[in-house]
Amino acid sequence: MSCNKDDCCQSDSVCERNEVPNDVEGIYESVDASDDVWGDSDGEDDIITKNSSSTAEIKRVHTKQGYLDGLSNAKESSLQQGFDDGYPKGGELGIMVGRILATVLSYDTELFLQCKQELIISKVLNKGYFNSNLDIEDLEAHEVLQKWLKICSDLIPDL
Amino acid sequence: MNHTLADSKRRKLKDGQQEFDLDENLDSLLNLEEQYYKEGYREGQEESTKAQYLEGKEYGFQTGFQRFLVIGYIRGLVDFWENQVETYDASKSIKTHITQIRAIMEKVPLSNKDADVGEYEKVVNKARNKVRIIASLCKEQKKVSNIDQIIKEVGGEMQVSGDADEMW
Repeated sequence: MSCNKDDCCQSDSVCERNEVPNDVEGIYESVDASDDVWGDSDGEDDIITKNSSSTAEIKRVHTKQGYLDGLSNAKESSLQQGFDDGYPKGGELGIMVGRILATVLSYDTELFLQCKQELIISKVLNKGYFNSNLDIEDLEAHEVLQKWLKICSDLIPDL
Repeated sequence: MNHTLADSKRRKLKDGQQEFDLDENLDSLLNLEEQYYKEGYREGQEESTKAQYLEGKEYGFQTGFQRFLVIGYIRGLVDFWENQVETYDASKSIKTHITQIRAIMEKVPLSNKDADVGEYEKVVNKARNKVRIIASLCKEQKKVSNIDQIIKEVGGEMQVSGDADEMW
């Protein structure tokens, strides 16, 4: 940056150190000049609108970037936690189904094939029985299980 | 919020503190960017964490179902034999074995903790041996000779493959 002593600087020392002149009046001048940029009330609205949309853009860009980074950084324990929560519940259903199978096989062999087909894993763990958190809210509403539990209780003779 | 920023910028310019104002605006802009980034990050992380949790839960349900079918099946057989025990010649011996197998199966843990899974393996092995003895005493070996086949047919393969989509 060139500096002409007479034109812009008030002292040599300021120019040598290449600092912004400590000239309060000069700053006021530049503020006055910039006041024209902000203008009167009509102009202000434009500025505010421009500012808003650029802030919205900043928000969009940075929120999106954060979101993408967050997506690929799922908390590590969550998969295992889910497995550990599902496992015992699946186990309880497995025990129920296994018991039904053995009961039907023992008391009414002819029904066994049908029983096996209706209680395969894909039908017992059908998504329709689960809520969005993958829980069975009401086992009474599990039609296929209830059907075979009823058949079993009818098959087992009273002692 | 946006209006507030614009307003504060204008006010400070009029106060004649342009440089300070620029620095502060840059800081607040960077802070804002960081804040938006963090908000987005948290949202993204929550979503993927939840998705992974559900994926794990689905897999856990399937695995638990498959592994405990055999427990239920053996219990069902034992229930039947106990109910019909007086009809067998070896009823006295059968009763003893039934008492023993019930004791073995009583404490089969359902959880997926390492120690519990080890305990599960022990219980299943003991119960399988015991149920074979009872079945032969009852002369109903057929019911246990194909346990693994039945479990495979109902529970599917242990390895979960492309079928998972069909299932859920």
